[in-house]
Amino acid sequence: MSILAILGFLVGLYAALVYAGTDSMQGNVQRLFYVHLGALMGSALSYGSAFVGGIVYLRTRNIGWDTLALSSVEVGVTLTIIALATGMIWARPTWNTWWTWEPRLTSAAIMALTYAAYLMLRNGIENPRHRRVFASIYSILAISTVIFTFVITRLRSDSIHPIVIGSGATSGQGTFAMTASMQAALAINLVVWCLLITPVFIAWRIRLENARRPEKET
Amino acid sequence: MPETTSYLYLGLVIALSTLGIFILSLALRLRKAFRNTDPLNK
Repeated sequence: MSILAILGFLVGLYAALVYAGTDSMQGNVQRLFYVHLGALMGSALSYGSAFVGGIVYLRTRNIGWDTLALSSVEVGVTLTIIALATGMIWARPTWNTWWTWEPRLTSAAIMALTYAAYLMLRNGIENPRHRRVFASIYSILAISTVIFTFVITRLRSDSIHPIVIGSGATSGQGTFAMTASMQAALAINLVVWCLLITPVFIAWRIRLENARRPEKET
Repeated sequence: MPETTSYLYLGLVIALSTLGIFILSLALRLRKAFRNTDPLNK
């Protein structure tokens, strides 16, 4: 599975950098979009899995579910950093600024900080049982920031963040229509990031947590 | 068509570096964890 993820990542990069056509309005920087959306969808999937882990842990008190939630959040934060960084670098030539406090960017920043806080706050609780219960409740509440980030461009008509898939605010700056090769590259990258890279990272992180546990706690 | 290739490279470098740092940190922590659980090391 890990080898498949590496191969998939390379195929995804090839599709984004070579196969997909160059956008006539934005030039080559538009190719970052495939990585940007792939990483963001991967992070959303991770946060979703942390949400599920949190709920099932509270119901069953099985440590494995808490491990899943912790691993998912760590992977999710990494992927969110990639999505934010590539978005900012795309915004510089397109919007003429690295960052602007528009609704989508602000909600994405809140989402990233909320989950970064999960990792920090979790480590601040000494009692392992209390820590797991707190983290589970936190991961359930934190999913609201993910949902909010996804729907914000549909709710706020003044958002300048482009909506490439489906319809939404028409005030998007830097929106582009996708050709068939662009759609294919996007589909490949979404599959690779969501179904290969994210699960493989989470699986390795779970393996690490399981290897650590005997020395730490039971 | 505007020339924005340098931004593409910058974005790729940062994205790949972030992935690389995560993988490296995971690998180092895994190595440490497996060393600690190895009975011969105790």
